[in-house]
Amino acid sequence: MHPEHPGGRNCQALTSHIDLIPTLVGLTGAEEDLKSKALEDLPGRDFAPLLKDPESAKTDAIREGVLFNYVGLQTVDALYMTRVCRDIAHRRFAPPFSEAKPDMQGRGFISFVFDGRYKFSRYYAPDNFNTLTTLEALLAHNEIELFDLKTDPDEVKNLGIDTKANKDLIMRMNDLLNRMIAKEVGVNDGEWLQKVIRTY
Amino acid sequence: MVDKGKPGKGKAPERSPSQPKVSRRDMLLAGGAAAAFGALPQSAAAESKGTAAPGKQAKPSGKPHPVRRTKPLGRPYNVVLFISDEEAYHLRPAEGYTTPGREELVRRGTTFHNHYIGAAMCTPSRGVMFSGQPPLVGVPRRDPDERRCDVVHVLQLLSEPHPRQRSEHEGRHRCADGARFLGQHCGWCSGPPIMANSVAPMGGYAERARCLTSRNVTSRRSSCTPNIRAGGTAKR
Repeated sequence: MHPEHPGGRNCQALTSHIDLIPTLVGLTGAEEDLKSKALEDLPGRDFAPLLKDPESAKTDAIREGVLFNYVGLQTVDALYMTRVCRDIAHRRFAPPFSEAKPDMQGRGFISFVFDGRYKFSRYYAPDNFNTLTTLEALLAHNEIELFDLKTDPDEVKNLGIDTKANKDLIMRMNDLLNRMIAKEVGVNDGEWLQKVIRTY
Repeated sequence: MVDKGKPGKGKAPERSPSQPKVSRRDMLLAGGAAAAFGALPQSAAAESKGTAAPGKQAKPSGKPHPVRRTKPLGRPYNVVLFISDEEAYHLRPAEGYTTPGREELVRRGTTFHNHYIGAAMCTPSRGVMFSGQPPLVGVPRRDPDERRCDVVHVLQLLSEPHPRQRSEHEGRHRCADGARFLGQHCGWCSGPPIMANSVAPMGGYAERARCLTSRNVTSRRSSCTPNIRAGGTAKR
């Protein structure tokens, strides 16, 4: 809602939570150099300009894809989580990673990219961060999902199962995913997680 | 941006006649994920569930809500951000329930149908919102020399010329204040930030629990203290 823009309008441009801070800054009306200084190093984009004419904004007006990442142990090691949750519930000392040793081989981490029509997801293990570029390597180290939200908005038909028929589409979306990771995450080797495990 | 004083006390800010009159009750009624006044992106969750079938565009009935100003305000804007949890764009409308607050937001605002969260579950999702960074970059960005840790710091940069000169200690306390001001615990002040941002929420909560139980709180975790004193967890 903005007092200078009428309501009741729709926008189909791809935007992300990662754009929230740049957009808030963009809406402040501050000087350009001050804004760019405040947003230095942040990967998000200011989508406040879309408010002028949101209806005619194309899907890729702000970004070519939206990147999603989930890196939590809830979806990796149920036994570890059960133990930790029990400790927390009873307000007991929760053991550090070095002691509890959660399983890091389950493919419970996820990265996905959405380009406005297709949603391509890659599930990988915490000890196997990767941004691979061939189909064989991709399938060897990840579980994949590919949905066409235009024809399948509920995401029930996984096009990623038929890797022969959909190879080109899979690789196109994989390239986009890798590109977005390079742009917004940077080096994606999982070193930060190893650091956490070593430290805590 | 917002009065940090105790709720219900203090003098109400003066409002010029040109400013829109929106009461606290209006704001609460609006609910949902959205931003008001100075404007802001709405989450897709703010779509009117009462008027739209899942996955389809909201079709606002009647004329678009009129603008209240034709020229920029001439001074920095105030932004009010609403956040709500446990919602989904494709959620079907619950039979027998209405969502007038969301319908009002749709009528008065812009709905971004392809807006996505950057990470799932509550704490990492908030982490992306308040840091502007994906959950995988928590550690490198949180080096001691790093100047910002959340949206409050970024907005402070707009008004304060030399934030880098502030000490880390002070920065953390400011972060804690900011998190409270936002009505959320930001997740980073309670302990090793990466735990809260990426491995959490459980990692974050575990660390929090450890803070509460440990008598030998290290300097790294001392940022827990203001939060605990301020409110909440220790007294429960």
